[in-house]
Amino acid sequence: MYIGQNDSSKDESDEQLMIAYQNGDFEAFEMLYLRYEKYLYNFFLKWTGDREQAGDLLQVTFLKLHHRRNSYNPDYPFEPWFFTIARNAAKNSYHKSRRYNEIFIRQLVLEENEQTGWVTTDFEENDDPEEITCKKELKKMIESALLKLPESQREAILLNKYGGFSYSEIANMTVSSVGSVKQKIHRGYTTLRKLLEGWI
Amino acid sequence: MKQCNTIQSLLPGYLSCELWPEERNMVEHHLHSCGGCSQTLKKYKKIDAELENREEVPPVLHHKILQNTQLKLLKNHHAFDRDNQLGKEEAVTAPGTGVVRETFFGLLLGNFLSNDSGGTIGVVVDSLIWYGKTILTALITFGGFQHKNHKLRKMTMLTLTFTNREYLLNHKSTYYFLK
Repeated sequence: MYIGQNDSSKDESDEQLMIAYQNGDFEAFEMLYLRYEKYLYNFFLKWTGDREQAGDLLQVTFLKLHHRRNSYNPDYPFEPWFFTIARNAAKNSYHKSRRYNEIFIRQLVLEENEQTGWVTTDFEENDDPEEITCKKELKKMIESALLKLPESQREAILLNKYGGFSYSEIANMTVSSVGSVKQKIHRGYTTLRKLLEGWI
Repeated sequence: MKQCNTIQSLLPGYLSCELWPEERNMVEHHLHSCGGCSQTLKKYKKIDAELENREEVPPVLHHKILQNTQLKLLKNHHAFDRDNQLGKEEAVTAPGTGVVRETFFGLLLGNFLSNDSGGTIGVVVDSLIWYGKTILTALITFGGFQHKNHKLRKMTMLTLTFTNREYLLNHKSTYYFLK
């Protein structure tokens, strides 16, 4: 299942939009951008745990999309191709980031329940304030736990659970086997469950 | 216990509908009778629910990315560069016809027309470029022509009358906004 498959406003497919974009149609790019913007931003946010980095990665990814648009073959699905660009941007940027250590240190601080400043938009207006606080804390804990996973496990979980990619698609994107993807996801969830003991 | 380990390794795939039918049946059968694995499944569902949370993209970032790509595509169309945007200076002049003015922000692509003496008398506009789908009110003066209070929108035919000539302009389907 791809992120766009549930989009009822999809008059044109991603592949059709890319063809138009390759011909210089900015509106086609804009439609593609609007479809993936929020999704991709949050993917990077969950990957890095940092809003500034997530914003940078979003820009880098769409820049790379622009530069590589003519290399895309519309005979193949757009989303996995696009996510490979996004994923590579995240992996390259994350390892080169001078802030890598800052984020790592911040995660240690998170263990003491300091404020991350992350805002959630997912609470109902009539939620009980105490319930909202609990939800916020749980959100914080899950995000923190996710960042503690080895990158390969975090990546596999995000691509599957957040991105909606199948195990075989993830295997193609990460140049690994379906069995390896399954194992990473299983281990990731097992670790998450242990880290979140008492919270979920 | 061994079976629980096997079942729990399959739970993420169960939630993602990644299991073969026989695996799925095995998991569901086991869950009916195992409280421990059922609890684990509930925890995994809570994690999945959190993974689906999404924040809004900061508006500044949103506009920045769109604008960057607009500019890159415009450069590919050999548009005038920003220093030649009408309104910044006298872009088109003709003897006795005054100064070109514009009150909207946009870019005209076109070819300058010259008279026999080599002076520029006007511009044949190939396309009018402005941002998105917003409706603009524009006043364009070319060599005395005024196109006043016309609401510009996508697919609009523009008529510009110059001192000596009249041109019908076909719009293009894509518009960009530079300022």
